[in-house]
Amino acid sequence: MPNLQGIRRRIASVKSTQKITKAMKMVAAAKLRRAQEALLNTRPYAYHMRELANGLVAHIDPTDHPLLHKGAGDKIALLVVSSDRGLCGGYNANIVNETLRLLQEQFPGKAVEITIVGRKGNDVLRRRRCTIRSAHIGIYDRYTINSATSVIDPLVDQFISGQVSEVFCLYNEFKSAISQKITLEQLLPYTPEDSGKLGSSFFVFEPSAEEIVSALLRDNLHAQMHRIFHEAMASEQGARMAAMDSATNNAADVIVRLTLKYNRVRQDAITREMVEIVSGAEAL
Amino acid sequence: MAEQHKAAPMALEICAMDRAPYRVETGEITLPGEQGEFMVLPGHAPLIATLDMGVMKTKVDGADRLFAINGGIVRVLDNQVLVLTRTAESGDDVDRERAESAKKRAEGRLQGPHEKINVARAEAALRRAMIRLKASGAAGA
Repeated sequence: MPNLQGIRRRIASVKSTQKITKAMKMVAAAKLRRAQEALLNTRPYAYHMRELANGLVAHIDPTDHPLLHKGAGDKIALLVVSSDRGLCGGYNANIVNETLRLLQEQFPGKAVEITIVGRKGNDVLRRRRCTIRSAHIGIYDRYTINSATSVIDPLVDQFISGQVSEVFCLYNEFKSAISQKITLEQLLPYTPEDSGKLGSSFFVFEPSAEEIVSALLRDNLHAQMHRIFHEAMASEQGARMAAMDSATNNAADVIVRLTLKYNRVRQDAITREMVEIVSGAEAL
Repeated sequence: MAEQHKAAPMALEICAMDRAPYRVETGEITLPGEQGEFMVLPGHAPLIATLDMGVMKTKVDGADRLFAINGGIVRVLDNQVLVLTRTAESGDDVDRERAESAKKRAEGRLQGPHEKINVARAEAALRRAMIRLKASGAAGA
């Protein structure tokens, strides 16, 4: 027989948890709005950069440029973008599981060096004994474009010096406030997509196409990295908002159940007391 | 007469890294190319050029509009002009006082002993401040 006081305490405790999750949900919603706006501002730049890079690569001899070729060896660099903070549902777990799946299925038997962004991913992947080349923790506080370049530039250098032959990035793409899509993107070697009209038109280049490409490929990587971080930040807040919303709803369910139980127990106790009094009176 | 009634025939899009793209119709654009300033008029041949830090000038509805841009690249194709730059600041948005004080600070640093400062950085800061002042239309900048 559960005691009344215990149930009362549990109801109070769940209620205070609910208050916290509700507050976190609101904070996440506000942050999400800001992150979403920032993301929508960075997407066009990144899109145009890629388009321009695709077009330009069609105008040069690809053998000329180191960023366009797969390097020697089969070492792979994988950049995994997780978050620094938890309480965001399956956000970090999903990206870690996908990382582990990739290591087994996509790159079996290859040496994969992971660069991890975010404390949560770092904690789990280290426990799983993955090869972690470097970890970037805390870049989401005071994020600027320099944070993005400081993550990607060492990987570009490793690629150019031949330490790694390919560079991939695994991140959450922001679809909507409640859905994120885990995306694997190849960053290097740069593989141009169809360039359309940009590739087939005759252009005047100032300076030469080769010189522009050299600068543009790096700028494009920075732009993509910048976008990827904004995608990740918006996704994180979206995931947190959804997680906190369902936690708040769960708490409400639990409170309803506990209240029901509390009343039933209370009623039982009253009935029993009544029975005792009545039978006591009868015995007289 | 016919000239005046013609619609502005070039679509200009300025796309900065952290800003929503700014789109406008215009008849002429002057850009700070890395190899010198140049002007784009309707019917310009397809062009891809790198840009230097500087002031970009365009005419919208007969009035000059200036932008301080921080390097980047321009693509001209079929009267569509796309300017991709890290930062683009409209002259109207420039905080003149801030730019002025940044200029003074940079000048002050450059006049002091050079061993203690990063000359390249101070010079870049000075240039940025001057470009922003120029975009804002300040006299003597």
